[in-house]
Amino acid sequence: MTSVRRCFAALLVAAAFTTALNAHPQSTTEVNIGVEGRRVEVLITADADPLARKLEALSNVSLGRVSVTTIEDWSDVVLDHSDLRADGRRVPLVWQRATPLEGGRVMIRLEAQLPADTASLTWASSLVFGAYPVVMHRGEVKLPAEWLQGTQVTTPVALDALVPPGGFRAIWRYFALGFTHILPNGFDHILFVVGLFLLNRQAKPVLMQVSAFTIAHSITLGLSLYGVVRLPASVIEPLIALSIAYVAVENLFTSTVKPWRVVLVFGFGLPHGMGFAEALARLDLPRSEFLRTLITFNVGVEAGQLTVIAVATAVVMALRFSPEQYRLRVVRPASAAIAAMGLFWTVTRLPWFS
Amino acid sequence: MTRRVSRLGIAATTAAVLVFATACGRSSAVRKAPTSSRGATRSPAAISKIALVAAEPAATSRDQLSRTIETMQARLSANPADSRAAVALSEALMRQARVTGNAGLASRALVALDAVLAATPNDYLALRERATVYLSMHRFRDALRDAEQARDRQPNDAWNYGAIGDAHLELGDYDDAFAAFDQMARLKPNAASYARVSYARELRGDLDTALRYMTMAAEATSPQDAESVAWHYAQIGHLQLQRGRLAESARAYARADHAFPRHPLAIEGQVRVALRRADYQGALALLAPRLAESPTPTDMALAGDAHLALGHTDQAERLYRLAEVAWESDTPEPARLARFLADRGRRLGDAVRIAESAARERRDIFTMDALAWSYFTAGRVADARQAMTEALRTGSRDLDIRRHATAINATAHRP
Repeated sequence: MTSVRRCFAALLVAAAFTTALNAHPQSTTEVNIGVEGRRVEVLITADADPLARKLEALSNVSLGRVSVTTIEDWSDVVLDHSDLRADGRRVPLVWQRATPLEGGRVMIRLEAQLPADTASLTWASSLVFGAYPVVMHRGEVKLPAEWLQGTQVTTPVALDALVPPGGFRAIWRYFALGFTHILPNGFDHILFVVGLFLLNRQAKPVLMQVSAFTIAHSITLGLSLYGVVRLPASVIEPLIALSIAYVAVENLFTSTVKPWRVVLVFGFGLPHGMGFAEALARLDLPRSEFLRTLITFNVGVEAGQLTVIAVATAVVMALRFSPEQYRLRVVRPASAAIAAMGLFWTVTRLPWFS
Repeated sequence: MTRRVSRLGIAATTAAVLVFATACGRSSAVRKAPTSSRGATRSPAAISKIALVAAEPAATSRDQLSRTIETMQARLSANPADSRAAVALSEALMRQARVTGNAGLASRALVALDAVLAATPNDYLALRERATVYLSMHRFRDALRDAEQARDRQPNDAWNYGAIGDAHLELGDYDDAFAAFDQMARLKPNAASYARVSYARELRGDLDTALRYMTMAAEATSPQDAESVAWHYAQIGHLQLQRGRLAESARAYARADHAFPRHPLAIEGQVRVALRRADYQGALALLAPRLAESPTPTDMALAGDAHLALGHTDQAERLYRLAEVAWESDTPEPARLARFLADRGRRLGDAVRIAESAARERRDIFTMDALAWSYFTAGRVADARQAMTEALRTGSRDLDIRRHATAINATAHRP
């Protein structure tokens, strides 16, 4: 039982506030399964020496020596302990080779042919006595790693899931992502757009500002996605907050759209675009998907912004204020509030604030 | 008048907006989460409430855990910066890891928490939870860094002292660990702090008090939280075993197994009791399902011991070899491997090398015991004595440490 207690300290956190822990480190083995048409390639990467000794113990046959080269001699053991299934039926794996890698590692390559019309794949192995990651991919489409413990079987992976979503489904997905990035999730973007709208209710000034903003954020969104420009969140976030404060403060002092306002709005659009790019960066998209995603996501963002302006217009129209009343009762209090919020965020988002 | 109304309106709106802004926290450009639970600008009272909500023991059966994991994962797929979902997912995954032994689930939890913290570096709950995840991954220094950072932000949150103490404990900094546990118990006397006080007492060799506190911890655990109940009773079983009370120990392990069937700690404890009673067949029967399914190195080592006692030397040897490689590469735990090798008289030179390497990383009493015992079995008695002094520094009455210490002392004093 001492062994259990060895882990006690870490496990104690488990008792805290009902959080649970496991105090075992992870295996050094990794499995990578690639699907190309009907061909499946399984790559098992592990520490060479322990693997060789494990195979010897599992085979019950001692060769009198254990090294990377002897792994080839136990290829049958590897195959016996590897289980690839297509729709629940075991698929015969064929040994290819064991390649020594740097740092005392070895990579074993196995292959299999899937039956026609295979819908799903599973993997299991009794070669690892610990937790190890299994990654499945087809071309550039890679699923997140699934961690298996020992002989655990992966959840069945539908081969459809390894195909990049195409057609309307993909367009809709990225459009929705762009739209929801504004409504309802982008509260600071909403305030920025409202700030632009408040200055002047007429269509032309609103369109000029929104167009400048759209062009700017589209440029940096694209450049960020392709990795051309990159700024840390600690820089982008305060800048976005500052942009919100600026447009709102300017609303308090003027009611006409000056040329510099459009230029500044363009400038402020640049960090907003880098902020948008963060949402796409998390998707871990293949490069071939970049352009389509960029366009559909951006259209979604614009749709979100236009919806904000439409709602704001409807509210303002419903109020039926004269220009003076509008400025006094809507523009000034709302801009003051937006400015306060923008300044507050600017300060609290500075890296040294926390 | 109109101007006054307008100014009042501006002031009121600004105040309301500032309150709202506080709640909203950071940019949605890089974070699209529901933003009401950001810790950096909240009071400790608010935080503790959030913590309770976030840690609600909703998922305690295997099915419930799986459902929680699926639900939270779906929420995170829609919004990777959803802090609450990430913390709830992490908690469920950590629990799942405890009952399945799948340490890889911690990596999954870490990915989710890292995504939240990348978008919202000030997210207190995610930071606090990440310390817990690091502990489970044996990244004790990272855990300590996060937990201390979390403590600096919320000095009244007992959780952080638990994590800080745990990390110090694993690194062998016992005074710091015990101080953190005391602070935790002062702030929040509950099952978690009782369990830690219990372990602190056990490390100091006071098994009776340790048992009393662990019993209090078990009683303070909600019966709805079956997994936690099982965990606490398994610890009681361990303490009874250390006290030499086999019947009481067996009862506690049985209770753990009843609370959460097939809990790994309950099974392992029952096997140890069976071995102590020389019931080797019984031990093997208990281990059989685990050996057939997903054996841990400990399972294989214990099964090897049972086979060896029954005279099945070939089977024992095979299991020992598998346990060795498993501790080396599948569940890498150098100190345990070194102790295993030294205990069974295997690869003694390697045992010393492995134990020395482990002791360079951490100097807790179990690692120092592994080093002492490895030196001793390799014939380096002076080194063994020196290492054993460190292993005994807390006054622990751990049976293995005491057995090793007795053997080393006896040899050292032999003329």
